[in-house]
Amino acid sequence: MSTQQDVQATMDMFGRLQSAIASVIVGHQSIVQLALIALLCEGNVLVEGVPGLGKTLLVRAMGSALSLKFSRIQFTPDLMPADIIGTDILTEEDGHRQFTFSPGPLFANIVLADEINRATPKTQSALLEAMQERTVTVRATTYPLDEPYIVLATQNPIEMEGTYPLPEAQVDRFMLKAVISYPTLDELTEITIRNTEGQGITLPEPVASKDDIIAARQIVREIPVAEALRSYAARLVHATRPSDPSAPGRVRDFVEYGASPRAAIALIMAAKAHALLEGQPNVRPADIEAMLVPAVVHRLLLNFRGEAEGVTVPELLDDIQKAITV
Amino acid sequence: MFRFDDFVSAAVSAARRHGYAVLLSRSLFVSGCVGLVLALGVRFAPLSSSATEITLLVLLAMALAVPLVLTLIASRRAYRVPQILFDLDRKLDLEARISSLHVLSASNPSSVFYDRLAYAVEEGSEGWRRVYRLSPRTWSQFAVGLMCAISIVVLVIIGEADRIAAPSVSSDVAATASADPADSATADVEDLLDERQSADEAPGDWIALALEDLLAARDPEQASESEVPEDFDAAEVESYTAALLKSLREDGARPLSDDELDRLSALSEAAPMDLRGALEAVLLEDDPEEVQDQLDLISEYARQQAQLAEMLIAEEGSDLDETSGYLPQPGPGASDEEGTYPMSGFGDESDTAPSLVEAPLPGQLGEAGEVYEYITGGVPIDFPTNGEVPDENRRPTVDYARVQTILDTRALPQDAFATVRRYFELISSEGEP
Repeated sequence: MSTQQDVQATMDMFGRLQSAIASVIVGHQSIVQLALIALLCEGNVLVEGVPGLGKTLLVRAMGSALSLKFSRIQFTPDLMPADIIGTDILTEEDGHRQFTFSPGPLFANIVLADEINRATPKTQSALLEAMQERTVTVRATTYPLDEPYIVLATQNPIEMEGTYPLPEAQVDRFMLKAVISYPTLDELTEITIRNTEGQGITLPEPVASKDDIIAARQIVREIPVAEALRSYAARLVHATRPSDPSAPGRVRDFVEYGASPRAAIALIMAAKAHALLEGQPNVRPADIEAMLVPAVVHRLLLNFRGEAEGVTVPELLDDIQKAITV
Repeated sequence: MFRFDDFVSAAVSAARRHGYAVLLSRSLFVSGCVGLVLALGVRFAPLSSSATEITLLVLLAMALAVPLVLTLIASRRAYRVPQILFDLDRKLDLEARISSLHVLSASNPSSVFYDRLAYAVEEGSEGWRRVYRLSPRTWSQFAVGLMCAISIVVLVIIGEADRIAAPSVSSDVAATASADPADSATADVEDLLDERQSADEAPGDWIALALEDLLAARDPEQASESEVPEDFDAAEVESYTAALLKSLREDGARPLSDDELDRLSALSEAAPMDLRGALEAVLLEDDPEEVQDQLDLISEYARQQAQLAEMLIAEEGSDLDETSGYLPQPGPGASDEEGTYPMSGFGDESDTAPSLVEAPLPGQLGEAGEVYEYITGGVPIDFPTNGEVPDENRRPTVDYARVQTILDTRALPQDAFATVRRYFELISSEGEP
């Protein structure tokens, strides 16, 4: 059972964590917040952005500030599943030969799956179990992954040649999707200063431990959600389906498949974590509205007409938010 | 010490009371307005007084019952506490804190967030009862709805007053209006008005009602009431009523005997509807003096009808019902050439062009010879009876006593009579049109 001191300690810890990451990453506060929310909610984050925007640095800074084991996997077309989950290797000890499991880079606390859409679907699918069940199965043996565990995958939206779009089943396993945009002029100036003067980028010192994160996860689960807000979140997600009577006209026209139940779960959990990070004792309508796009945007599949007319999912979610009231 | 359970109970009770009050006000407003509109429509619709009264009572009951039934139904419906609390959250701008605390109190009262939320709710919900104060709009709706209901009650009361007065008025007016083709109706209207005013009622209402009744009695659409039975004999009625009147006057104030009543009843059965009404009124009358007055009117009316019929048989014959000797009434739209019209005290006000009645005897206009005179229908005229004056002097004359009665009935100023009299004197060479 958490105490008031635990809550206060958690909020202080996340304050220090955000400051530590901000000392390395210029701007992108919302992305940092989404990564922390996913960490609190035992979720994974799909980060989309062009190269050079600091995605990898963000993940490394998080790992360093949290004193967690960090691994980075550069996905390429020739990457095999065994390359990321590990494999049994033949070893000899005291004259006896035996197979010993050699864990892959998935065995870490924070995994950066860089340019995940460049790997084949077979290799991408190797991540499914790790992302959802927090386990890895090799041959007949299942290995649990260390908690806290979070996968942050990046994908490049402009270089589509030679890529393999993520299957829907895998996309659905990402709790949140964050889109990294270009830094502003001031941020760009600050980036150049940090990278070209002094000793360059220095990763932050650890400000939190594994146990802090696990305790914080328990606190997040205790944050109450009013029945009306739970219903509101469900109605928002339900309205993403073209067959839903309350769905706006553009959703019915341009959406092929709506969001899955995982979207509603992710929305509620993310709203809880958002409320905690905002220092609130309960989920507010604003928390749900703030998390709607990150939690649902990657789960909607546009139909051909929607693609042809250049409709974007955030626009449709905006329509839904206007149509569905608390 | 903030007790959240007590707060929830009080908030739910207040919300329910507020909801009922709003529902009651809105439904009373709607049903009252609709009921009043319908009631006004019914009040001025051509319905009988009893039907109007019943309909008004039904509308009043509906206007009052609908809101009560709706409120009762609403009170029976299950209410959702979470929704009530969330509405309170929104109205107090508490960002779902009350609802969240309600969730925690039900599922995890030992949560670390319980105390924080309880404190926030206690701080933020001060003066929460103002949320459930009735808005001016609700009060306005309630007041308007109530006024509409009261207006319906007033209409019912007016209808009831009409209904109470209606039997005497109707019978009297029926008696007089039934004799309307002659002058008895106009003569009796004055008595009617006197009676009504003596009942301490509003004179204007009585006058309006008397006119309404009389005009209704004169409505051409009710001409069927004036259809003349084949076996009707106006002379017989005149002779019997005159004889009976003479007998009554000789005997002093006495009630009618059974034989007399039977005879009057037999005459009434053979009489046209209007005269029948007058005879039946005599049968029902207990006051001997009133009986004499009414018999006098009936006798005079029957006498005039008999005279007119006799004259018309002699002069024209074609328009007369020879069997009955009764002067037929023109139907709706009848022209002056299609039939003669009795010298009524009341013209048909619905006519746009006055009907003309041909005088029974031709007049003389110098060397031009005979001239048939036509008299505007509705002008109260007396014809000298056959034998009273020589034929060459038998001219219709204006009955100024009935003119006075008509003007009084219509509540016209007294000096109108002088003007009217002057008018007829000018156009008729000192009283002879």
